[in-house]
This record gives sequence, structure tokens and C-alpha cells, in this order.
Amino acid sequence: MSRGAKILLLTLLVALLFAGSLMCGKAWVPLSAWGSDDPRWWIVLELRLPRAVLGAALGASLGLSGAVLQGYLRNPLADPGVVGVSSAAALGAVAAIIAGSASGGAVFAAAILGAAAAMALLAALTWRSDSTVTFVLAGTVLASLGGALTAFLISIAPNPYAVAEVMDWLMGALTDRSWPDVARALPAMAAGGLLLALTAPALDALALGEPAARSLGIRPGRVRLLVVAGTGLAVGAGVAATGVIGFVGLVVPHLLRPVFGHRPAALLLPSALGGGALLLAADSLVRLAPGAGEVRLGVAMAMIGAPFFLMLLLGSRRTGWR
Amino acid sequence: MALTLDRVTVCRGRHVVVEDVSLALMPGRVTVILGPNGAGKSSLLQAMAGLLTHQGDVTLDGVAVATMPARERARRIGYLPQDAIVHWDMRVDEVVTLGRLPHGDRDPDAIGIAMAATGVAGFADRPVGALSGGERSRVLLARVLAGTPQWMLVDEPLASLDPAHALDMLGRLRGIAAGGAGVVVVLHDLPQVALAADDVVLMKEGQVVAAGPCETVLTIESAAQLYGVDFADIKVGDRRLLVPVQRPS
Repeated sequence: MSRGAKILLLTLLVALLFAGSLMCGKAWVPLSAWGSDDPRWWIVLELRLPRAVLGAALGASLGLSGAVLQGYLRNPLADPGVVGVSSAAALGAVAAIIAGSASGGAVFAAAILGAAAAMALLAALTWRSDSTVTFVLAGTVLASLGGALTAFLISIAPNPYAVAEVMDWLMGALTDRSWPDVARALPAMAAGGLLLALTAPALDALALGEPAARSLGIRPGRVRLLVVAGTGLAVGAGVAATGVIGFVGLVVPHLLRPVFGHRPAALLLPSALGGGALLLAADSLVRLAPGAGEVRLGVAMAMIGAPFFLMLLLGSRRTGWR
Repeated sequence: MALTLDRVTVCRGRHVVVEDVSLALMPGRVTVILGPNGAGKSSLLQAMAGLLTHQGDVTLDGVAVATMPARERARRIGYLPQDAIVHWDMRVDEVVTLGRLPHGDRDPDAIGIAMAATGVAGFADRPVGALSGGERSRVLLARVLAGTPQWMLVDEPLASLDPAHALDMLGRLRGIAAGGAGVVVVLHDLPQVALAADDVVLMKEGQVVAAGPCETVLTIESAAQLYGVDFADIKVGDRRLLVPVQRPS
């Protein structure tokens, strides 16, 4: 099957899951109720559509940035978590919640500020070094600093309600997201995605090692800046809108490598589509799960993602995965 | 198309690894850089490729390589590093196509010619992870050739090759030079130098101790001085191959 046909199939899958995500939930809204005077159509328009759009965009951002980071660092274990952007955005949001801010806009702005600060720090820390080891180390340090500061803020929180709200937010969810959330996050995600897509040729060249890549006209400083700014915008905005949702960036490129090949640039578009599909599917599943409340998407993702990833790893040991 | 070095000095950290090197290299010839470990051969090659910051000037047709736009430099100077790394299990044709990156196209003619010249067309759709060391080094050479550079700078291309593949590789490099490109190769194996080189550059401790046509510059005496080892020579056709025999007592 040609690459174009595979991408078309993946796009169809995303469209199907998107439609499915509009239909399913505690109240089932069949296609016959769409676009009519049926009151359930309102649920679709005002609740499920923004949620599905945000889910698809977030999944695409996570999948794309995972594929870019794995290509850039030439390491199949990289994901947006290693650059520290998720934890810095979470830190910003938690600070806003604990400071007593209730509005979604303020929490979003604080999270974006946190992500931007972390990315600026990462860019400054790796400014003079072309080594990816420095990049990973700096990102890991930023991630653990963000985690520690978040824990510190929680420990000094003035009241248990704030703590509960923080924990709720940290678990990551698409519940109750509405059009204003989409309007805030989507432009930054799109801009970030665009910057990340520009790294494609450099990612291929870097597969030959850095000296060979530079001899092919790749400028490492420019690529690093694109990776940092693109991940910061795409993932930062995503975390700001939905909380921390892991595993997508790590798992999706792995799943797609056997289908689309190992060339890093060839994985970018499929990973964006695959990330969108995975998040839409997971978000539909958590809504269908029995019980009064919903399983948090971030929690569900880790619970499904971790064993699945282990299975992949065990399988790859048998087949000799490079 | 001459590649000229004028008082080139390269530092790595606080260490001076190449010191005050001036050379004029001619296209259409194979120039081999020789010297003991740590002589600064690879650093000099990287400085020529514009990949290491240096003092002094490396110029191609009178234009400084350091100030050339990265893509133009990449179109004119191809560089093959010593380690045959491909980090992902890409297909052979995908790797060779990377050579077209500086041109921003996927010119099938250039890619086809490069694959034919290196004998990799037969396994173009195989993943590089499934290749032998010899096959992989041919694929990476094809990658550089696909960019049709005016100059090819190659760092120890024989490192993991058996004698048959090593001779093939030298033959290919000579073929490239015969086609009009300039070829600069760092080599370790002295007998092979005499088979491959038109010109040689002898380096020791970061400096060029001698440079010129192989048959006049590379002698038993100069090699002994360079490496601190006694050499014998074997005549093969019109070439004299140097073979290390013992450390002087």
C-alpha cells in the first residue's frame, strides 16, 4: 500500500473517531438527532464538539512533538516530557489555582507563561552547546524542578479545596472544556505544529549523526530553536488547556514506525494523525466507562499506555527492534 | 575549483589540534592526509568542510568556506565522517536521497548514478540495519555522491572493510577524482596510500611536515620520520608500497 493510501486510511480513522466522540457519552446522540431541533444536538454543539476538537488537536500536538523529539534526539524513548515543558506548564497552572484564580483564562495564561519560561531557560542553557546530551539533561532538570516546585506549592496551599482542585487539574481531562478553551489553545497549538513541521528535513539528516547533518547544510542552532519553540507552543498550550496527559508522544511514533518506516520526517504527519486518533478513542472510552463520574483521561492514558508499551518492548526484544 | 588553506589553526577546547596549515589542493586528484594518531587529520578535514571554527582561511575558488551559506557550502563540499552511523533503520534509497538535501530536490538521475557507482542499487529497498559493514559504507558513500559535490572529503573510509572492499572503495574514490571532483581522504594504511594517492599531506602534532606528489613526498625515510617506525618497500607496477616492518631498536 502506498504512503498516501496509508495516510488517507489514518485520516479516515480520525474522522470516524471524531464522529464517534460526538455520539458517545452518558447520553447517546445518534446521527438521526444531529442538526435537528433535538435538544441532544445542543449537547453535541456546545459540549462534545469543542471537547472533540480540543482532544484531536491535543493528540496531534503530542504525537507530532513526540515524533520530532525522538527524531531530534535520535532516541526512541524521548517524549515531550523530557524537555520539561509539561511540568513547567503544570507549575504555572497550579500556581494560578493556588493563588485563588478560578477563571479558565487565568489558569491558561499562567500555564502558558510557565511553559514559555521553561522553554526560554532551556534555550539559554543549551545555547552554546550542540550536544543533545546537554539538551536532554537540561530538559530533565527543568522537568524535575517544575515537579518539585509544584509539590512545594501544593504543600503550602492555604486550604484543602485548592489542593483538591489542583489534583483534579493535574490528572488531565477534557471534561467540560468549551469553545473559549478551544479558542485559547488552538492558535498556539497550530503555530507550534507548524514550527515542528519545519524541522522535518533536519531530522532526516540528523539520522546520519551531527557532523554529517551539518555537512548537508543543517544548522543545529536553528533546528534546536524550532524544536524548543514548537514543543513549547504546541504542548504548552495543550497542557494549559487540559492538564498533563502523558504517553501519547512516546507511544504513537512507536506504533507507526512499522507501518510508515523509520525515516523521522516520514513519521511526522502520521504521528500527528495517530495522536489525534488515540486521544479521541481514549476520551470516548473514559466517557463510556460505567460509574457516576469519569475516569480522568490522563490517568486512563497512563493505565492503558504503560502496559501496552511494556508489551511492545517485550515483543521488540523478540523481533530485534532497532 | 581549487581548495586553498591559508594559515589554518583549529582549537578544540584549550588544545591546538591543527596549527598554521597552508595548502593548495587541486581538483581531479586524490589527496591523502597521513599521520600518526592525534596528528589533527580529522580536525583538518572538518575545518576544510566548514564544520569546525578555525583561524585563517579555507577558500574554495577564492570564497571563504566559513562565510558561505550552509546550503551552498553543502552543495559544493561533501563530507563523509569516519563512523558509519545511521540512527534509524531507514531504507537504503532513503539514506542515499539525503544527499540531495542541500539541493532541495530528489533528483532521480543523481541518486541513480550514485547508487550505480557504488553498487548499492541491487538492495535499494533494504533497511540499512540488515546490511553488512561493507555494504553500509558503500551506501553512505553513495549518499555523498548523490549530492554531486565538487569536493569530497572522506575520513578513514576503509576502517571496517576487508581487503576486497577496501580496494573497491579506493577504486571508487579514484574514479570520482577522474570525473573531475577533488577528493581528500584521511587514511591510515600506508600500502593503500600509494595505491590511492596522487598527492599526500604528511601531518604530525597538528602541523603539516610535508605535502606534494605521493611518489616524491612519501618515501621510506619520510614515513619513518613521521611514524617512528622502520618501513620496507614493495614495488607493484609503477608504484612503491610502503610496509611497516619494525620499531627501530
